[in-house]
Amino acid sequence: MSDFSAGTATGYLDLLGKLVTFLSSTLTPSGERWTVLRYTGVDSITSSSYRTDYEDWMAIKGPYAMHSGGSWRTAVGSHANCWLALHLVTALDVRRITITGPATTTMAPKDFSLDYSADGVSWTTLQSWTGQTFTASQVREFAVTATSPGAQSYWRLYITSNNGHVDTTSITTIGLPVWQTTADFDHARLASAWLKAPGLTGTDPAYINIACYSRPSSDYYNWAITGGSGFVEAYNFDNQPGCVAALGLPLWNSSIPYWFAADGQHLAVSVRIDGAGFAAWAGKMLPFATPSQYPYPLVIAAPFATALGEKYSSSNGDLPYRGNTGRLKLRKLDGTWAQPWTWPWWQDPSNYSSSKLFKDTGGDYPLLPITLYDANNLFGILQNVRYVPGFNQAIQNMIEVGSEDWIVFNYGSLSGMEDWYAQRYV
Amino acid sequence: MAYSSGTVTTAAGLVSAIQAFATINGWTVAGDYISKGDVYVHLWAESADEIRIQGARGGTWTAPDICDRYAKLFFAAGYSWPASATYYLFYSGTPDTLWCTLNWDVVRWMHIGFGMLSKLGTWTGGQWFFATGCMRFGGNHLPGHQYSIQEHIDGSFQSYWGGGESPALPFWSNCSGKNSFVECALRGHIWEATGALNDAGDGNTIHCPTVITPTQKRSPNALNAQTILTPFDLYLRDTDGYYMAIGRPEHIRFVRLVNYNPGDTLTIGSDAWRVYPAYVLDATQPDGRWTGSGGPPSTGNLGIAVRYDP
Repeated sequence: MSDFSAGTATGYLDLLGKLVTFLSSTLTPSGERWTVLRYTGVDSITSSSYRTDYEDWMAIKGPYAMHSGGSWRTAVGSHANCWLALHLVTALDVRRITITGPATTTMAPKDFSLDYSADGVSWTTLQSWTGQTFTASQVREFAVTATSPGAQSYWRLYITSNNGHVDTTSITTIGLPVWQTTADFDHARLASAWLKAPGLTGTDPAYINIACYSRPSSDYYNWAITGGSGFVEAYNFDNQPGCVAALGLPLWNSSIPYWFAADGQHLAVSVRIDGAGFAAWAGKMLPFATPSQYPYPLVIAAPFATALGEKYSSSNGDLPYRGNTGRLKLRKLDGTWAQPWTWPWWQDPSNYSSSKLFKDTGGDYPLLPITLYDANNLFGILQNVRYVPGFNQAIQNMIEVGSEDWIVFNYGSLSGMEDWYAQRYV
Repeated sequence: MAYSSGTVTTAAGLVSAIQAFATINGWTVAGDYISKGDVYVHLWAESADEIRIQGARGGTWTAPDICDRYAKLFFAAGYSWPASATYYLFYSGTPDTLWCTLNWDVVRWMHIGFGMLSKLGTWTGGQWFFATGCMRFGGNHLPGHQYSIQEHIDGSFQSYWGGGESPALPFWSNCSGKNSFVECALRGHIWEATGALNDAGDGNTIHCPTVITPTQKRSPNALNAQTILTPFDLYLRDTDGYYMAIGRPEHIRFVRLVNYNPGDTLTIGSDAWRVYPAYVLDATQPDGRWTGSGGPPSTGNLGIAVRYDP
């Protein structure tokens, strides 16, 4: 049974937090709530100061947020008694840190401490290091031998002095590695969630991963979305078992009205960004097959076919439900990923030029199921999203179907006949 | 009783069987007229070889309420009503649907159906009727003239001239005749029908197959060899060229009879469906064949599934 949530997030990071809370804590029925396999990373990075093009967020690397070549540098003359602080979405017991030094070795931290805080205001020094040096771009690991304060949400690297640079102190990358059986996993990343939907029977799970990625200087703040067939703690994001290369949902770091629809095997997301609409869908569709015939019909759909480093106004985005693009991926029986057509957008690929355009039916707007197919198969339909005619349509129209309410969205700022869809709201 | 079967030897006998079955299931039968709710049909044996069915808005059997055309199940020149035929009758409510499938000579099948659509929207009307064979009321039909099996499975126009035989699926557009009719006031008309071309060039018809081509064409699935029971979703082309989704007959489905035999019962959850060929099952010609192509006409593996609740 599907459940729904709507509201306004403060930004793309908060939106992920709201989705995680909805799926794992408030979704009803409770038996369909998702398991949070891992929800980690930061929702804010602050520093004592920074220079243009060397902002503090550049010290965080991660999938699709590599900021290649970037580093944090303090403002001119603010190289002593400077700090870089992280607020983690999930408290972490830090026992090791890694620091990648800058190319200019004199900018590297020399005397510094690792501090923690419960509120980001009152800090306690956990451990200090003095006289540390770095070769150019050297990655060094520092073990925390002090008694653990337990998991904390706020961590700070407080740098008393650097290695002699009289202008600035710099860190290329800070890492919070935790050993996971076979490899390190780095928690110093933007907020990311590894989720397991229980399936409608509770024994047929679906694995969905969502990672925030951004580059403030390029003005993009997005989600990378992928799905796979399992979860391995030591693995990163879209190298999890069976994962498709992540697709991208363009967002921003400002107020985001959102609408979620989900059940124990899928989620649908609609958002409004700067007056434009965007959608994503992840989970198992409803297949035209029994569970034994098609046990894992996983679908990942988002406006960017890859986790592009572009903002929401990019021309590379499109409504993912149109089908026949990399914006909608379906896991096939053999574990490979297909790009199915979708009806009614693609009424017949061999005869697309004569596709029929729909309008309202005497003032009513029938919602047509979005059906996935290819040349040899009719795969199934997407739950809680429907095609709706764009004829005389308006954003956020409400369509009542029995006891259900559906809300109408367009893609981006498009208003053509086939730029619309409806997502179930109640 | 929502299901019945038996044998008949005449057209009149089949009409009587349908009337009796309708009565049992709550329909009102007055002479040749059958009604329930907003569904009104006139079903009669026009001759020893022909049954006709026609509808009227509100049960008013005069213009403009009466449908100016009828559908028919008939055996034209060179053919005659079979000495014995088996009928299968189905009734389902919500919305009311009555369906009859007739089988003779083991491999041949015809169908009659009527009822109320599951409508999309709040438009006025919704009753429908259908029979396998069809002709224009008062039109230029001549005995032996072509009445076609239609196959628009991939959106292209292709017909199967069956000589005196005239099989077709409901709401499967025809070359020259019309076999399915809906009372639908959306465009200011009273009765709409399937049309000649079933494409954008035909602005006066209800469309089914080409609009939903993929759902028909891709069955059975390569991935699981399962055929999909596809609703006869109906679309009415408006005068501006756009299509309106108007609904569907709820208790019938298009089916390809692959891996199924005529009369098989498919169970899907709590639903059961009986499947029958459109006219003649021919596994070697999946999309059917017309006589002019060098072989006997058939409807391939195209067929109909009827909700079955014995």
